[in-house]
Amino acid sequence: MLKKTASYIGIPLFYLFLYLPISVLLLFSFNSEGFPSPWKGFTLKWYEELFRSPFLWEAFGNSLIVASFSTFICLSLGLFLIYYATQGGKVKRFLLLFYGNLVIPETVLGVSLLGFFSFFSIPLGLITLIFAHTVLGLGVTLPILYARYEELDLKLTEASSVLGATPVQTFFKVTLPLMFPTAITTALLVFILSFDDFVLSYFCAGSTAQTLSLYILSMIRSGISPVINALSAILLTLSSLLVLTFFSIKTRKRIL
Amino acid sequence: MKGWVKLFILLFWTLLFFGMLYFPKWHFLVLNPRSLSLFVWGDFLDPTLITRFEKKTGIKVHLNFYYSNEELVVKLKETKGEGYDLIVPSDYTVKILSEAGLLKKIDKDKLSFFSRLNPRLLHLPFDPENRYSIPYFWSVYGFGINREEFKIPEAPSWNLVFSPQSYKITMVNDPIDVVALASFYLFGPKETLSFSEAESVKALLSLQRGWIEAYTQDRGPYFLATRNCPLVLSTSSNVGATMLRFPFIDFLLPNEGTFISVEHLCIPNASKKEKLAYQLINFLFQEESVKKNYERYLFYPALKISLAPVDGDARFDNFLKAADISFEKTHFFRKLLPARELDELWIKVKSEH
Amino acid sequence: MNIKESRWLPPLPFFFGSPVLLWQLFFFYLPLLLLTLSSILTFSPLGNFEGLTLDRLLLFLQPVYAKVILSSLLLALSNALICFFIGYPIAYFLAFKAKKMKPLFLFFLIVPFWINFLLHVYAWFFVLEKEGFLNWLLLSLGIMDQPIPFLNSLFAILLMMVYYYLPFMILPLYSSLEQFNIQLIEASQDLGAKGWQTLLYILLPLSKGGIMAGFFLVFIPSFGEFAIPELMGGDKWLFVGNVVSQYILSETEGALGAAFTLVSALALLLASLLLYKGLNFLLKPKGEHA
Repeated sequence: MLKKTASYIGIPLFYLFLYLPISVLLLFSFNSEGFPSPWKGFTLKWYEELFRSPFLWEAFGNSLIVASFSTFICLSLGLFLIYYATQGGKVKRFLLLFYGNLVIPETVLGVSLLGFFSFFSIPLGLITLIFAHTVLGLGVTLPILYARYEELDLKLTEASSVLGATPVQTFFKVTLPLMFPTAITTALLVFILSFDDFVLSYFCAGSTAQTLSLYILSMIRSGISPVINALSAILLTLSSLLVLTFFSIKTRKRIL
Repeated sequence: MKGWVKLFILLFWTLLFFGMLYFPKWHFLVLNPRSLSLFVWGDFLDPTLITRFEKKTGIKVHLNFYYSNEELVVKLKETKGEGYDLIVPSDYTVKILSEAGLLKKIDKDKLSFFSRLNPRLLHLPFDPENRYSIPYFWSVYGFGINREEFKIPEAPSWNLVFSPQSYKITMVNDPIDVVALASFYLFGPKETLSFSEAESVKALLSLQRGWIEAYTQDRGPYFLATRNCPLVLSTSSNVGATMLRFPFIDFLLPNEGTFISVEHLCIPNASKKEKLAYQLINFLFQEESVKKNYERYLFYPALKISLAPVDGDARFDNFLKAADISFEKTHFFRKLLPARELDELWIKVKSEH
Repeated sequence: MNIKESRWLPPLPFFFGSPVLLWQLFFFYLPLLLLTLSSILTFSPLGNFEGLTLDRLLLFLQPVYAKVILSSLLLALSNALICFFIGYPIAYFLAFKAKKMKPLFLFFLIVPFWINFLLHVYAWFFVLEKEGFLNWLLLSLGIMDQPIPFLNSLFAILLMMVYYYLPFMILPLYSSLEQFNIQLIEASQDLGAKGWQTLLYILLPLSKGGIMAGFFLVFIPSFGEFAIPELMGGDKWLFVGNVVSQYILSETEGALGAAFTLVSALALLLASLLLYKGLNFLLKPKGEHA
């Protein structure tokens, strides 16, 4: 059947397309001469230079900090809302208010936030960036957390309160553990969203917060450096590990 | 009763959120006193110099980057200069900032090197007494070329980029620079442009788009190295740095004269760390520091020092000779049109085709 | 007094339920409101409120700017369409044909997605350069004798956009298709429907949710892109994102930048509505063709 041959050619072709640039990138991270020189010889010196660069680590650290805090705030706000829902609060109608966060082009969001911060004379930096990423993250967090909450068997929470637990106890001992896997996957999503973000950093980071994206941009703007290739290789490894974690949690969740 | 409680809760959260946002403002006062916050160009300071300074003095240096003078001005005006202890504006930007009251007066007695500065770079029109700025480095605009694919003409001229050629070039990307260059080609040095002159400039730039490979402020030499273009319009420092890696790249100055950019060290008025800033300035002007920066970034130093040519490479003799260019033939960039019209012209050039 | 009222319960639910809404209000809706207001209000040089004006907005309806906005819409739409035509077969494969290897395929699909966007752009330089991988391949295989200048062209811009946004299209499509009972498809084929009929009259309408989601997840962000046109297109073509960042980073008054952003956002909104209606119409289950 036509479909069969299509899948035997089309799918591998697709994955080839997907991984071609990355593979070339990785290959050249070991080239002893920087691009555009052709392959000269194997070397690890770019990795060495990578680890020695103070600017890179500062940028990396900043991205890490921003991503961690955004994730933390998103999750907290989200779980707070879930608690509100457990107490009979009507959350569903409010969710509509959050659709915009993902739908709006980041450029528009970035410009609006920049204007907002300037208007209130709020100093631009890591904190403004954290707040901006949280807005983005909420668009992802709330729908996912609430969808999971709706799936939960209400009988479990009812049973818990009938047995005498206070709402708080029920929340911590029953609801939260059931939400836990989803919370982790959501956290991973928000973390990556923030860590890889470029547009919001461009507008809202001010000049004190040099994030990884901005650092890479400055390096790209000034040419090509194999140090970036080495960085890509490392980030690719990290990314694979994160995705692996994401998947293992997701599959475990299905059993629940 | 319940209404008040709800209001109180809302207020609590609001204060918490905005408290977090304003945190840097009041925390700033408690920040590490023995540190400096620099706002500098992207490719400007050798990082090993910074580390050396930190080790020597125990002062922690925090770097922030900008990529255009406009960015510097906008951001400085926004924060009213707070947050930075040293900035590096180019020539006319110094005037803009000093007139806005954002710069601190420099106490020349605290500078150990001042007498050894190249006199040609002092007393420039935008800060005649060097009250607010100390020239550190400078560069000129010229052509980066690929010797293997481009025949060097007897008299390199601006025609090489502004009249139709068989090859493609890269052009700088800043509307101020571009308009100044085009207007210089058409009319010679100007202070401001009339409406019809602006139209001619626009026409020239739109025409030029036909042989442009890319608009880029810094990546020009990359296009040379990858053999995408045999000629690029860029700065001496940009091309020079790439010359170190690729033997087939050279730097030419157009005959008719060109534009110069002198980077100055200035201290924002709002800085409370002058003492530490002066330490850094003196350190940066030490001969070894200047040499190190030159070797890495190929900016011409304002300090009068002898620069050894690179390994008998004749290209660098020429490169250094370019630094001797008569200052009568050099001009500073200035905004020839109001910002709004500049933006509109630039957008028209890029989208009308 | 009512017994209920005399017991004061700490209003914990409200305490926990309100922050997220406050956050959304302050950091999403308020900034957008400020954007709108700064676009249409005028102030005297001294900062006194003068009045409303639509001048700035009308300024950006001029041909020059309209062209930029239209180009962005066209780019976004092309991107979405190409992503759809490539992505749907992939999603179909993943949902129905992958079976045992499905987690593996999904894993390899998502991993690149989680790397920094700029690194993807950077990676494509290595492939598309005159001395890059693709040209090396073409030259050594003898297909071409001159390297093709792939970069700094509209082709490069579109290629990069499709590359980056494909997962945004594939994943919603996959989610939507995955829920289906493959027996529906088999039933349709048992009843004599040809492949393309099954596709058009059953699959597409049923996966409408996923298709809509995919289209919008690609169309809307593509509209605001500026890094890809700058790096892949040699900054020769201006799109909404490029103009916005130019205004914001230059000394032009913030109100102009805000106004242009507003006009573009409104244009996007209009286009999105049209797209929504269009897709809805095309994907309507066509009952007559039982």
